[in-house]
Amino acid sequence: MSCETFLSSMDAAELTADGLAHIRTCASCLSASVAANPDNLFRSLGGEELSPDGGVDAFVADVVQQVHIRRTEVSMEPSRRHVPLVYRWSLAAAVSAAVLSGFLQFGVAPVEPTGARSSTPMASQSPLATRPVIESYQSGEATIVELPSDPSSDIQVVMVFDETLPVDL
Amino acid sequence: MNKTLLPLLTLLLLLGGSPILADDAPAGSNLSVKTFQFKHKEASRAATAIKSLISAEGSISIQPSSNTLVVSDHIENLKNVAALLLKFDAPSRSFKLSIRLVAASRVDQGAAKIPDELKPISQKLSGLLRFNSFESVGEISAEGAEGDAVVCDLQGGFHADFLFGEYDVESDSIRVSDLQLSRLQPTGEQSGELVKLLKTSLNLKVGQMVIMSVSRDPQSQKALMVVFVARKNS
Repeated sequence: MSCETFLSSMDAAELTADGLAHIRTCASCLSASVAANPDNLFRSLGGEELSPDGGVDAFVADVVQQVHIRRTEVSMEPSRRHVPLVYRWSLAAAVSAAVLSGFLQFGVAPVEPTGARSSTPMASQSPLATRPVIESYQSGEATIVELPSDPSSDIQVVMVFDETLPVDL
Repeated sequence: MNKTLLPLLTLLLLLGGSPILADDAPAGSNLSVKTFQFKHKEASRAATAIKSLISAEGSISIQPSSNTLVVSDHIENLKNVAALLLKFDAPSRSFKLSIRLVAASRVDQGAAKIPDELKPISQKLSGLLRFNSFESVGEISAEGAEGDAVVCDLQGGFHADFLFGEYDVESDSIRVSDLQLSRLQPTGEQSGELVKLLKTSLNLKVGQMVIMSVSRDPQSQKALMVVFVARKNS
């Protein structure tokens, strides 16, 4: 392709394969092409198409997943309460007025500091219960007796009394 | 009066004069959020496992698409949760389960018989149960990993099927889910058909012999004993 042909048929949006080959060898046509569309500079560089490991769909799914997780994390974070300064002062004044009027009206006895201390509420840490040997049984009518045994014992006996069992068991 | 005004001024300062402090330490700021993603186990099962560790202020969110748990709680509780989930998300382990069926009965002392292979069991049961005669009915040994289904035929027309459930690290036990024991009916209208005897789910401590004595009532002269021993496959 000649420079005249390229320049006459140059389209800012579209770059044909022949045109692309031409601007890779002709500096002046490259300049003209880039002036028309700056993306043509990168197109002229060539190189293989880049795709993430596992494909674009897997990459997008992963990103969406991470966004979803992050959104959940944010929604579960404790909310921050921004109370404007004027409301703080109003509240403080109201509470102070109430307390002051109470003091003036009834007087106040000195309050001894209590020994209370803040503590983090923890989930109850009960010792891990041993799981029952029989977790479920078909018949709700049956009586299940788990004979007590030492946890370190090598034998555990469980008796099941079930009247729905065949007679010739 | 000065003593009265001092706490008032302090209160005033605390409520009105400390917006910066309050913003830095928001209400409930000692709650943290942590995300756990699982490779080997389902997040929904993990949620069940950690439920007892979560405080009243804490919460759990399950993300099935990414097999993830998002847990919000106090830092101390989150540490316990993390330690438990680390053990929980272990690759599936393989187990060997032996099931032996023994017909037990109460007979006159002279008629009592105990085969040599059942003597260890009968010795363990002496004083615990009323039976004095034992007969081996069938035996099977099955291997599988957590989540595997097992179907097996035992001697004497017995048939067993079950699922190897999850291994519990804390109690060192394996769950045997939906164990169904059936028997081929030898005679009668249902001859040749499998008749269901029992269906149950069990937690078997690894290495421990579990004897399940099944009878119609406590006065029964006969019982079917199902003897389980679960072991880890090396």
